[in-house]
Amino acid sequence: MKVKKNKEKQLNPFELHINNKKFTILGRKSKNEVGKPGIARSKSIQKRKKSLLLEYKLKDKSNKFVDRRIGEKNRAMTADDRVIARFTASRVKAQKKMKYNLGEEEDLTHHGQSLSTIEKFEKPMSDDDSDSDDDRNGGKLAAEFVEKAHFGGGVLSRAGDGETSHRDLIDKLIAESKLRKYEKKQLKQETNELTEQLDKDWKELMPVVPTKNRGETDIEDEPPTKKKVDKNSYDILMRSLKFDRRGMASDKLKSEEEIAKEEKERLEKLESERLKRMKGIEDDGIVKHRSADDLDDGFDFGDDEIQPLAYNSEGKPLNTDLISVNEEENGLNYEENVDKSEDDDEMESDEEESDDNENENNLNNDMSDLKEDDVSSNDEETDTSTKKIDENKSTKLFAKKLKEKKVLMDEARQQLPYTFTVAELYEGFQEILEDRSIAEQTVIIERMIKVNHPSLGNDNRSNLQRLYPYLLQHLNDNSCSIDGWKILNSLAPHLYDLTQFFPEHAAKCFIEVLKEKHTDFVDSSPKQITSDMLIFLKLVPLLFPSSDYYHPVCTYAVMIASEILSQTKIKKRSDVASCLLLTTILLEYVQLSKRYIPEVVNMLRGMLLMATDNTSISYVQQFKPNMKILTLENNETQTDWSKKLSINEIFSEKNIDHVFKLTSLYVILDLVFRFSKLCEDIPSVNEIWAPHLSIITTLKINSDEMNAQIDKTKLHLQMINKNLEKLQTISNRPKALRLYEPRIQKIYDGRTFKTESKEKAERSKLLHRYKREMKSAVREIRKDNSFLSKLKYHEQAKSDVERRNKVKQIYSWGANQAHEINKLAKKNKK
Amino acid sequence: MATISEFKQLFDKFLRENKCPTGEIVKKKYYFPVDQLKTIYTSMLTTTNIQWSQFQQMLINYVENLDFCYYSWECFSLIVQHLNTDKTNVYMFTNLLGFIKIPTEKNEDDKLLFKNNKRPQFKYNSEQLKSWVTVVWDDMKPFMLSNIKIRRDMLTLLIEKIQMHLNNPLVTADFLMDSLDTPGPIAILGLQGIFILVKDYNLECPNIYGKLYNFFTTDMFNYRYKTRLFYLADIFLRSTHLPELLVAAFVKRMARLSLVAPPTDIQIMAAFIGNLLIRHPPLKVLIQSDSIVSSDPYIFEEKDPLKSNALNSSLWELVSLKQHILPKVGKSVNFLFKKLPQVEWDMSELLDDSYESMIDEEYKTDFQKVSLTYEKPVSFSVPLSNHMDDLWTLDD
Repeated sequence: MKVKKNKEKQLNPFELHINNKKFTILGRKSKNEVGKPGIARSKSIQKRKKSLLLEYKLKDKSNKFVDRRIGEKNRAMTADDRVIARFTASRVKAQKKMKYNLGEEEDLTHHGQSLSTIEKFEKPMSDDDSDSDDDRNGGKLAAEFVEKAHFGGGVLSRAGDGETSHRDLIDKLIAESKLRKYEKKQLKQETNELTEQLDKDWKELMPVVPTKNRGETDIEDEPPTKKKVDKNSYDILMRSLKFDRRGMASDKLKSEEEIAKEEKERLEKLESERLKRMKGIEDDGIVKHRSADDLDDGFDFGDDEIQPLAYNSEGKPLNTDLISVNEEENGLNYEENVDKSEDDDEMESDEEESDDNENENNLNNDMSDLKEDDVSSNDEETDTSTKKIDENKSTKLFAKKLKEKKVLMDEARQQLPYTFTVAELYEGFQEILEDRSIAEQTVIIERMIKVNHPSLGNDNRSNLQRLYPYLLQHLNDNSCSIDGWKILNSLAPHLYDLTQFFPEHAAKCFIEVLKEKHTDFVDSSPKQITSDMLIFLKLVPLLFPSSDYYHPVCTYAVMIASEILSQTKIKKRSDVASCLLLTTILLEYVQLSKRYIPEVVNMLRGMLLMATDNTSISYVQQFKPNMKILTLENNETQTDWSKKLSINEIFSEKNIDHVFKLTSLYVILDLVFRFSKLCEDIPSVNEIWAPHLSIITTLKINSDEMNAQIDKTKLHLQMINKNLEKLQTISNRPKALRLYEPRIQKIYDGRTFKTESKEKAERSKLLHRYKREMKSAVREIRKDNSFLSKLKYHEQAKSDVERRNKVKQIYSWGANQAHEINKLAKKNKK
Repeated sequence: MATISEFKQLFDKFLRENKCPTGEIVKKKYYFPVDQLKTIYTSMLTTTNIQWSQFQQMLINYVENLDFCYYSWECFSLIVQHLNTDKTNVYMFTNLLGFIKIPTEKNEDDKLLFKNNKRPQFKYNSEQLKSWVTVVWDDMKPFMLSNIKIRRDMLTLLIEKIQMHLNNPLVTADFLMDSLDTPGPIAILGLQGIFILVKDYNLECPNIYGKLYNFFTTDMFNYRYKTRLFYLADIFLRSTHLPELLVAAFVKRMARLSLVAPPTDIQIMAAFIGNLLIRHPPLKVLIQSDSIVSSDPYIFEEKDPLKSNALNSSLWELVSLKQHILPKVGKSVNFLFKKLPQVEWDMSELLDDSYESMIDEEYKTDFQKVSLTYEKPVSFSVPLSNHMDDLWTLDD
């Protein structure tokens, strides 16, 4: 510090530049009172010499050579010192590596090879390399020869042989070596052939042993010559053999649980989609990827086609779909056979065989169906534990009925031909089905669908699309009797299958049919429910998900059903039955979605009112106080009555009798029970069912079963009494007031500042700074330029001086030469 | 008894009067053969074998003439005094009354049937006309009281045209109030008549809201006039100075009724309730409250809206309707869960809807994708449900 101070003191006052101040301002720091231009200039020149000058010197030079040898730049070191220093450095480096190799001595070398390798005394060349072997041996002489020729005392030791013997010797030698070469060649060829043979055998074996990835076999399919060239192929093959599993099993037999699990997952996925639709959540419109080559023929590369034919432990096929395809093929074969076998007797046996096969298959199918039914009914049993006994009975009955049905179907199957074409016109279709029993009709339609399965190509799809309205028309034509319902009962699964092929087409068909039924209803007078309306309304929830929040077919059907229900006239026995049937159908619609249908509730209320003398409850919809057709009179005699209504009742022309009254009242009560159970979650469920409850409490009937039903319903309606939370639909959050930025002045010193916005002030400040920086940069550049030009000038001057000196020297040399030549010339003259 | 040809002759004779008047031409009085016209009308009323539509055909050419209509009412006032249910067809008379309009005033370009520049010009005398109309109305009263159909027709006429042409419209108030107590459409017509009196003639009507309130019953949805009722109720409840208790009672009653109403009416009532909530901000307590009650405090059966305890209730019914099977209806109550708008909904669009229009509209909607069920049915009953099997059998 002292030194610095001294220096400052020694400054020459003439080298200072002093800035005069006009005023002294309190509180303001003055930075630049005194300037030192000389020092500043020399500083800047030094700085430039370090930066700009270096750059200038390295200009146009792309790389540079840096000498990093140890001690090379140190002039104090001698050559020996340098060598020693380098050796030490290398030892230190080696030591660093050796640090953790405890117990190992340093590796000694000779000619750059470590001594340890040399000490193994291995032959440096191995004989294994056959190709280079020959050359090397050829280059060397045999030991025997060497011994004799080189160390055996020369020619003298075999004096008797003379020169000829020596020549013989050499000839023999050559012959021997040739023979050896030939033998070696022979051996090699044999090995090659054997290898090839082995390859061939292996290849023949390959198809027998199934491999998992075909890629391996592809490699082996390459020609053997190419393989010989490729050295790695052997290794690859060997490894593949080593790691390949010997007996490649086909896909593992799926256990029952796995199949159940897969099925469960599939159903869960579908169920979640259904729930989404039920809540009315719109799909994001994710379009499934479609190939540019998609023919839009509905051909699906679904997984069911890839499923292998597999058998369960009892030897029964697991996948019945495949069987059915086989069955169709059988059918087709059969048809062909029939064509051919008109003259041929042998064929007939084949025919029978295929026939038998098919029957078996069918039986299998049927059995599986039956099992499924049992399973489903079992599920239901677990669901409703209260009615277990009843259900057991009913399921048994149901199963029995199904079995009967199956027997009928089997008979029908045997009697009918196997292929049916879809007729061009409805009349043709009618002809096919004419005079057939319902079972036969079902079989015919089933076969029509199977023969025309869309996956079999052709124009099957359009055939089936044509068939669809025919089926609906067929249902419609038969709707005027109980047969229609039986046909519906047996056709429903097939219609389901067909609908899966073309949902949009089916939906359009249904909407048209429903439209027709609706106009029929509106135009008819008196407005009455007819069986055909009911059949189609019944069919809709079987094919389309009625639980969707909105569904083009189901919503339409529900609209029509509710209009019909609210406007139909109820006068006859059949009217009551139809209304109850429609109510049941609507119950199926809302089974899953649990939505509320006012028309149904009103209908049940009206029906209950028809059964009592109660006048305190107001009437709804089409019901009037004078409609009392269901009122039971206590003095009427008790007779046996069933708890189920027959569908035949909707066609009944009979008067309303006591039995019908009892049965329908029972059904009404059951419906009230079921509906009220469905809409338990609705907030105003009490208000909805209060009128029904008050009617039911007044019912008095002399029948134990009926009273039990009344009590059950009554109890349930009373049970659903629940607390109500008052609505609070929107959460009220107070709205925040709009805030303004306060006006704050940073400094107050009497001066007025420009009132600018924050952004603007920031910007102007930055602009000012930029200006200043720009100025200083320009100044710096100017100084750089002057520095460089000075440098260049000096260089130029220096080179000029050099040149001038050289020129002078050359001139002087020339003068000297001339002088000497002249001197010589003078001497010669002398 | 007369045939159509006889009527044609009568009309020809009536028209001939224009050129050669048979009656006496009084000075300064417009000539019109009232007697001839009266005979025509009387024979119309006594004839039974000719349909009203045929008479309509005959009269259609004349009704556009001002003088014809004007003097027709003079004829009616003469005929009505001798009207008798045994001899004459009273229904026909109401039809006639409905068909012939009451001229309101004379314009230059109105057509005149018996215009003749030689004779005095036609003069429109509103006082004269009023007295005729009043006579017709007064003398129709006994028929109205005895026959409901006539009463309904006459009420319609009263509302449409007669009321404003009576000498003192307020005299009809008693009759209208009586009508209010008759159940069915007549009451609604009476209500509309009262509404006109209240609006145009400053009638003070006690307990009109109580009566209006009792129109909202479960059987109102059966009447053709229900849209008229909604329309009138909307107008009656338009005032923002009504007591909250009253409006809340209306709101609550409609909400309760919507549980049993057809879908289109639910939509109307939902919009109506929404409008009432907008008009009366204090009613927000019906959708914004935080307490629990064991049952709905509202008393549905109470006839007096002010005693129905509606303000302590809440609109659970509309929340329930979110579960309605038709998505359209479910969406119509969505306003409950949003902030109420400043401007009311237009109810008039909804008033014309019916089951048919709704179904037709649904038929026209286009669809792209159709979802399907994934459980294959075995029979006609829906999989996983036992309703069909438990309640119905295919056996006989």
